[in-house]
Formats: sequence, C-alpha cells, structure tokens
Amino acid sequence: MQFPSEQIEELKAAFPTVFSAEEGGTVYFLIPEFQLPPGSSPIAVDVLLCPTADRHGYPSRLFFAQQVQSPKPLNWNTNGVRILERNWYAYSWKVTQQGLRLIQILALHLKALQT
Amino acid sequence: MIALRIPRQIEREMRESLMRPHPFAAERVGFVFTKWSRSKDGGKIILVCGYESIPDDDYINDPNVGARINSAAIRRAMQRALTTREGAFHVHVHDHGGAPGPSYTDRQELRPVMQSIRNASPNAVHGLLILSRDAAWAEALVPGCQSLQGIENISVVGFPMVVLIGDSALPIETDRFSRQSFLGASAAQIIIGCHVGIIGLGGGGSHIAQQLAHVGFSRFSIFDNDTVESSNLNRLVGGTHSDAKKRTPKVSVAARLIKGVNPGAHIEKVKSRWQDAAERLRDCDIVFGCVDSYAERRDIEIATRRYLMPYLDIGLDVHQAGIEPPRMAGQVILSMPGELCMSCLGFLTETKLSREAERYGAAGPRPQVVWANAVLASSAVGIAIDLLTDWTHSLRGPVYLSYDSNTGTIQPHKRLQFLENQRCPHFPLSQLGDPTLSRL
Repeated sequence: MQFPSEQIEELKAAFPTVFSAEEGGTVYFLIPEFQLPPGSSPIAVDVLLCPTADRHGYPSRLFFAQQVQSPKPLNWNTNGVRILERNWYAYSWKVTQQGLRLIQILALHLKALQT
Repeated sequence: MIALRIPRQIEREMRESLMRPHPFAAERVGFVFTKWSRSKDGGKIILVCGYESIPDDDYINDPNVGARINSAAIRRAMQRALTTREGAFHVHVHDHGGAPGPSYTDRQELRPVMQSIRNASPNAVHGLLILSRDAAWAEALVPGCQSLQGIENISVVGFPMVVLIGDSALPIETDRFSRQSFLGASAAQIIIGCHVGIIGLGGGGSHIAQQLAHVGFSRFSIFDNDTVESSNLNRLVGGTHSDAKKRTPKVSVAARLIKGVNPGAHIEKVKSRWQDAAERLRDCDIVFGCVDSYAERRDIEIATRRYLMPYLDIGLDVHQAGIEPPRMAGQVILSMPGELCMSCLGFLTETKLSREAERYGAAGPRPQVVWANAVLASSAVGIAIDLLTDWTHSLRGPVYLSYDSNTGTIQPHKRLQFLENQRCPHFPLSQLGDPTLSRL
C-alpha cells in the first residue's frame, strides 16, 4: 500500500531513522529506539507501526519489541507475534485509521501509555 | 547443511529459456539470483528469487565448449549482485535424465566467473547450478569460505514439488516400503530424506505425526509448548492417563509415538512456541500446522512463504445455532509458495481475524474430537505424499478441502470455483528470505 509522500516526510522528520518494510501485503514502519512517554519503562524500545488493518484484526496497531510498563496497566493481548522475522508485543488499543495521518495514528496509539 | 529452494515458476521460466536453440552455441546459460538465510547449527537456506537469461549477442562463437558468454553478460550479473546484494548462480542444462554433474570444462571455467561475481557481493552466496530433465546438481561459494561446497538438498517448490535429496546413501529398508511401492521408484528415498515440521501436537498434530511415521518419514521438527492434560485425552493420539498425570510435554508424546514406529527417526523436539524458535522451522521441506487461531495460521503462512516451504493447514470447528444440532466442519488447505495464499482462497479474511481479536462468539476451549481430527489429518498427509511423490500426476493447483462431519463428506471447497485472483498479490518473490528494511 502506498502512503502520501507528505505523510512519509512528516514521519521521517520526526523519526529520522524510520524504516519501512512489507510483509504479506501489509506495510510496516519500524522506528528503532523509540523514546516512550514519561513514566514508561523501559524508556526506549523499537516500535513497529502497522497503519492499516493488522493480521490480528485491529484497524491499526503499534507493536513493541518488548512489553512496556506504563502508569496505567494495559491489556497486552498480543505477545510474541512474528512480524518481519522478529517477535513483537502489543496492547489492545483500537485506533481507526480512517482520515488520520501516519503520525497521528502513531500518537493515538501512544496515548494508551499516557493515560 | 546447505539447501537450495527454487520456486516452480522460476524453474519453469529458467528451463524454457535455457532449452531454446541458439543460433550457434550448443547450449544456453543464464544466472539465477538468490537470497540466503541461516538455519540452525550453521546451516544455510538459499532461496532463488529471480532468473536472467543471456541475450543471444552475448554468446561467443567457440566450438570447443557448449556455450561461452562475453564479459558484458558477466558484468550484468555482477552489477545486479552488487546493487541488490543477492547471490548469483550460473545455471545451464544437461539434457538427459538422472543426476547431472559438472564437466571438466564447467569446473575449470565457471569457478573463476563465480569468484568474480563474489568480489562484487562478498556477503551473498554464489554458485553453480546444473539441471537435468529430472534432477539437479549445485555447489555454493558461501561467505568466508574459499572452496565451493556441495548442496545436499535441492527442491523445486510448487506443483509438483520436487525434493532432490543429495545423500543417496540413505539406507532404505525395502520391505518397509513394499506395500506402498505404487508411490514410485524414488518415493522411499524422498520420504526418508524429507524434513517435516509439525506445529501443534494436539488432536490434529498427533495424528499427523503418527501417520507420517508409518509412511516412513524419518526427519521431524515438532513444535508445541503445551503439556498433556486430562481434557486432551479424548483426542490426543499416543497420550495416556499417566501423561496427563505427569503433565508430559506434547512433543514428548509425539516423539515417543514416532520412535515406536520408526526407531531410527531424527526428531527435533521444540517445547516452545514456534515463534521463539523460528530458525529451526526453516530447515523443514514441508510444514503441517495444527493450530487454533486464524492469526497464528497467518503468521505460519508468512514464515513458510518467506522460506519457500509448502504449508498444510488443518482445522476443525463445532458451531451450534439455536435448537439445531451442532455442526462440525473443518478444512485442509495447502498454502503453496508462489501460488494462491489463504487470503486469496477466501479462508483468512479481515472479518474473521477481527472477530477473533474481539473474542467474538463462544468463549472457552474449542470442542475437538478424535474422529474428525483423524479425517482432516489423514487428508493432509495424503496431500503431502501426493505433493512429494506426484503419484497421482494430478495435484497441480490450489488445495482447499471442506469437511462436513455431520454428512461425512470431504470435498473441494466451493470457493475454488469463484477465485478472483490467479496469482497471489500478497507474497511476491521479492519478499523471500530475511526481511529487507528500507530506510525512508
């Protein structure tokens, strides 16, 4: 799937080390050593943004290289899912991506860690 | 061990191209391009991802050899290897039946060519590939190694599947295979040499393990992180009351079952989720999946397509609506790399995945029964044997069987008549091997 170039540029401007890759018809964006919101532990971790419906039924998803502790406990219902030959973890958090820019989808997923 | 896997569509393209007559050369040559991945214990899996023929004008008229190509042709192969970091294998055909081998000229003249290409892309695996009408021979120059190494296992992945086992010295107890000799002269060799992966050793996987052992399969990697409970005993073949009491790992029950039939079998027991030991899966020539969720099926399909392994999925569900009697139904699907995937076949859909994510429908353990699992497992084993031996000469396209336990029927799914795609858009050959991350 193609994303508008201005959205890609916006993501790149915020995260200069961002990578993309495609697997099974789904495009992912990998941000290495992503700085998590204050109060999270660890403070930085690789994250993988899936801006479209993921293969586990969510309209969009943010995966983490490991489970993250946050001020409010989250429902980590995806544990060790294999994407791009790595194991990833995700909490249950629904962000419908319709009409949102890539960076907005990312921000809305991160909101779960801040509440 | 080094294994070379060739998608059927590239093998077909390669043969068609190489068998065309040339205006003056006695034979044609070409290059196949490859990616490689590590498997367990330092093994290597080489995956063919492209083929390029040599234009007529790039042949040199030399009656002393079958074909000689000019430096422009070699430079193009070097350029692609340099740009894409793929490996390059020089390929040609020896037009006869049986195992081919390199001629004196092949050995003398092609090794320097491969060394040159390696200089352009030193971290890739390069080599030589010779095809005969029904077999192949290959050697590889792997990173950090100066000499060419023999490739023990060459397979053509597609319909029909061809697994060329290098070690022809594998001992075959002929009496062991006498009642299934109709599978073909080389069937015993193929079955003994084929490395099978089974994910999930519960109601479905235990049947599959048992049947494959009876058929004579001898190399297994089996994956399950679970242990036996008394609720499993209604369907776990080989599981005993004592296993439930001791919480024996399911992989141990399956290994015991296989060894009981085939004491010489090599079994790698992986008592963890397959995702936590994914490198061990890559060695398999064919994978059976007997898992509960749609999401996990998708994950297995992705992993098996990446490394060119046919994936046979079985599953069973019991539904009850209102006052009607329960309906028990299931499926057997062969997801063949390069062919239609489970999404193309309409089996995996976003709706199913999202309902599963929301835990839509009845919660709790899914009903499973031994007799229905047996039908699905037997069907999957039958498809695998046909795929590997081609004994029916008829397995040439998608396999999606629909099982209705209430009526006792298993038949091709009606969706097969209405497929929209002829080619799978989800798994292009460019995505073979380890993932490629592009810096934005």
